[in-house]
Formats: sequence, C-alpha cells, structure tokens
Amino acid sequence: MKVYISKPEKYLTYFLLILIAVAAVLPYIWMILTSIKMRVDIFTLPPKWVFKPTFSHYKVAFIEKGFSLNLFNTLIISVASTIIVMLVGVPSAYAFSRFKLRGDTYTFFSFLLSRMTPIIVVAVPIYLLMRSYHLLGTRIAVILTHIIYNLSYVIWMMKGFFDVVPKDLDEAALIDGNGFFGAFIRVTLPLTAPGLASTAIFCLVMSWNEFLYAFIFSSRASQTLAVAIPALVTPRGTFWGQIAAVAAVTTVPVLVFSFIIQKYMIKGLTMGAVKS
Amino acid sequence: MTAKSRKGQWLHSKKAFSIALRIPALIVLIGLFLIPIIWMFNISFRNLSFAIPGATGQWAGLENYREMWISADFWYSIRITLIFVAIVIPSQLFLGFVIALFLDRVVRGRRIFTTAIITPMLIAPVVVGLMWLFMLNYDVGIVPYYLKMFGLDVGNILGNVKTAFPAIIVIEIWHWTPLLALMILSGLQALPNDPYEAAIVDGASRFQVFRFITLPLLRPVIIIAVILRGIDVFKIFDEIFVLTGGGPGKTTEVINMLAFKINFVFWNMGQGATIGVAIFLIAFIGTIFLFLLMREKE
Repeated sequence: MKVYISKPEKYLTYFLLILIAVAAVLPYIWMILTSIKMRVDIFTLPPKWVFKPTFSHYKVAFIEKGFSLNLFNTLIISVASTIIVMLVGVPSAYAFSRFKLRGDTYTFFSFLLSRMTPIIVVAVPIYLLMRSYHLLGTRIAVILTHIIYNLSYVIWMMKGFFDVVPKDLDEAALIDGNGFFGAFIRVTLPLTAPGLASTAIFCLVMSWNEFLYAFIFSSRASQTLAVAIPALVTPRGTFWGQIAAVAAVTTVPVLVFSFIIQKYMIKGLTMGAVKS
Repeated sequence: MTAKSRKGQWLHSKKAFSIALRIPALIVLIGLFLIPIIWMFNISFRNLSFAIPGATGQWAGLENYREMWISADFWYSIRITLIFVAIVIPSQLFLGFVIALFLDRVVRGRRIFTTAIITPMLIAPVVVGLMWLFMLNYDVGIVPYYLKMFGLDVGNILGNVKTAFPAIIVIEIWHWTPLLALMILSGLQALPNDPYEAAIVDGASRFQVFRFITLPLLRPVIIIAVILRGIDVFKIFDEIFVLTGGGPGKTTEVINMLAFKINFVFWNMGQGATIGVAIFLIAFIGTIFLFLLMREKE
C-alpha cells in the first residue's frame, strides 16, 4: 500500500521508529556491556557506559565454573532433537500436503492443541513416564520432550512449504518410474531445501531457548544453558557479570541464526496463521 | 523396470504410503502428548503425592476437584492470570499496530528497523527475566537509578506488592509486542491497492481510510493474532519464575506458577493434575477458536 506523506511527517516517523528501536535493543546492549565490565564497574552508580573492557567473566564462567558443559549439553540437545523432529515431522507434513485422509482434521487439531497447551499440564505424566524408564535427569529425556515441543511447528511450517510445490512435479516423477517414495525424496524434498533449512533453524532456536522441560527433566550433568544461568542468582549474592557473560553466549548465536531466517520467523511462531 | 526404481516402490499403494508417512509423527503425538493428557485426567481423580506418606495413587473421586473449587489460591491465580491477559493483549495490540503502521510507511531502512525491533522476542525468556532482574535491582539496577533522577523513588520494584505485577506486565509487553507488530505489518502489506485508490478519488480523509478500509480488511489477521497471543500470554511461566517466583507473597502467582509449585515443589500431583485439567480446558477452548478461524481463512 502506497501512502503519500509529507516531509515533516516522514522525519517524525523516522524519529519515533528510532526511539522504538532503541527501547527494544537497549536492555540487551546493557546486558552485553555488563558482561565485559569489571566487577567494580558493574556495581557503580551512576551507570557507566564507557569503561575498560575485560573478558574475565567469560573465563570464570566457562572455564572455572563448568558452563562449557552446559553449552555442550545445549548443543547436543538442540541438534539431536532438531534432527529427530525433522525426520519425524517432515514426512508427515508431506503426507498432509499431498494425500488427504479422513480424520486429518482431528490430527491437525491435536497438533495445534499440543502447541497451545502449557508445558506444565503434561509435565507430570511425562515425569512419571520418564521415571519408570529411568530416563529422568538424562539428556535423552530432554531431547524427547523437545521433539514433541517442536513437532507441531515442523508440520505446520513444512506443510506450507510443500503446498507451494506444484503437484504436477510429483506426478511427473511417478510417471518417470519413481515410486511414491522416490518422488518424495528425489523430487519434492530437494525443492523445499530453503524451507527445510529455515524450519530446522527455527527448531534449533526453540530448543536452545526452552526452559521448563529442560528444567524439570535435566540433572546437574545434563542442564542446558537456559536452565543453568538462573543458578547464578544465589541467596549469598548474584554474579551479575557471569550471568551476563553466559546470557551473551546463549543469545548471540540465536540472534545470528534468527537474522538468517527472519522472513520465516512469524510463519513459524504463528503456525502459519499469518503469512510473511 | 530397473532395479533402482523397483526399490523406490516399496509401497505400491498410495494410501499405504500416505499412512506410513504419518505414523512416526502420530506415535510421538500419542506417546508424548495424548497419553500424558489422558493420564493427567486419570491422576486428577487420585490421591498421588511424593510428599504425603501413603498417597500412592488411590482413587479419590472428586476430592481433588472439591479442594480446587474451595481453594482461594486457585481462584486468585485464575483471576490474576486473566487480568494479566486482559491488560497485556490490548496494550500489545495497540503498540504493535502503531509500530506496524510506522514500519509500513517507511521504505528506506525498514529491514534495519525491523531487525532491531524484533530483538526482544528472540532472546530466551529466561534471559529476558534475568536481564530485567538486573536492571530493576534496587541497589545496582539502572531503572530505579534513572527513575530516581526524575524524582520517582520507586523502591524495590519486584519486592513490592504494589509494583511487582505492573513490572511483569511491562516486561511482557516489551518482550512480545514485536511479534504482534510483525503479524500486523505482514497483514498490512498483503492488503489490496484498489480500495485505497477508490477512497482517494472519493476524497476520504486519512482517518476515514484507516477506520473504514484498513481496519475492516485487517480484521481476520487481528482476530487470529489476538487469540494466538492470548493463549501464549496465558502460558507465561519462565519470566515470572526468574523475576519473582510468584511473589512477593502470591501477588504474581499466575496459574502456571501455581501448578508448578503444587506439582514440583509440594509434590502433590493429584491436586496438581486437577489444576492441569483446568489449564488444559482453557487452552482447549482457545485452540478451538483459533482452529476454526484458521480454517475459515483458508
């Protein structure tokens, strides 16, 4: 939609947008600055915006306090759960896009419901389940929960990507002597490569940031970063510098990845209800 | 037919193939969602607790439901959760609209502004909580410091019964308004041009154009956005867990926080499952609305 606006109005719009952007980014920048401040500078008032940087908090947190293990756990859990959820969800999304079945409405509704139900509702039954299989506190437990956490996103996003690939291509592949499976793997799937990549990145980010499942089902040895950071808030004092350092390592990769798939973020977060 | 292509035809029937594709996802959905939900309903009729000796899952009938019904904590949590949603959603909708309209009318720099503005929603909720915990800290936080500079001594914001809940509302608005802005922006950019041209020819004022063309055309997007966000705001947990843990007292104990405490602090799973049922029913109703709207739109 083209709107013709006067020059002063244009400048006012830019001015307000700059204000909004600053309000959105400033708290985050403050945290990043805190992560490279010396202890004295963190606790100084008035707040110091210019100071001599240090990386000591990163060193203490990741080398002395074992946050590198949490980083490792986060990597393993998010990568493993993403690979599995893609293997499980993508074929299903293809089926929903290509072969309609009676009962699909209910399946679809159930997937949407699993996205909308708060985690705490299913946490106890899953907890009892994990307990009886002796999985509590393991990375496997967290991986399993992150699979169901991301499954509905994968199905929704990938169905959207499959829907825009013309059906004629599958049919042509079938006539060429490919089976149904061949048509899916060799023809349609490669065409959705950008969609596959965005969906996988989206799942990585969601798993990376997830807190409650990881909190309930992990132990000291399998904690992810999101679960481990709050432990630095202690009754005897809070290590703000280290919190900021670990938080920076937790968030920077996510911001970089999200930037790549910015176009698809709303599609994922809104289950395709709003097209981008 | 070559050997290779025969290998690709391990499933000859279209129907068998389409069912085979669905099975893995269905197993996960049933095993990790549908069965847990049914199980939760079952637990809600039982006396099950790791903390109470002898409560090993005996049938208790409607006892847990009776207890929930007369529990002041439960109704308090329901009430503040609903108040929370009722304040946050209109605020986010209004601000999201303003931001989307601004972004829609600038061409140069839109991508940069969008990237900056969506930053909050990409940060892990736990980190958002910790960031604000630090900034609101009474001794070292920059928010109380700058407020004091303007003559506003707010004291310990998160420790005060009067200010903790409003603070969490502001943080939630800061955190997720960008998503609403993006949703509305994508709606704005998908609008057809013709009605606008006709309106300009008819000499409509800008406000009239907005009120009688833009708003009605955006209605479907807005309704879906409000329900989707409404359910997500209702689900809030991580930020409150980090910021106040439900306190001070019980002032910020939203329904998910209450369910968490009953289940994983007091280990009273029978009672917790009952609250889980209540939460589930609310989410279920929301999902039905959303589902019907999404289908209508298709």
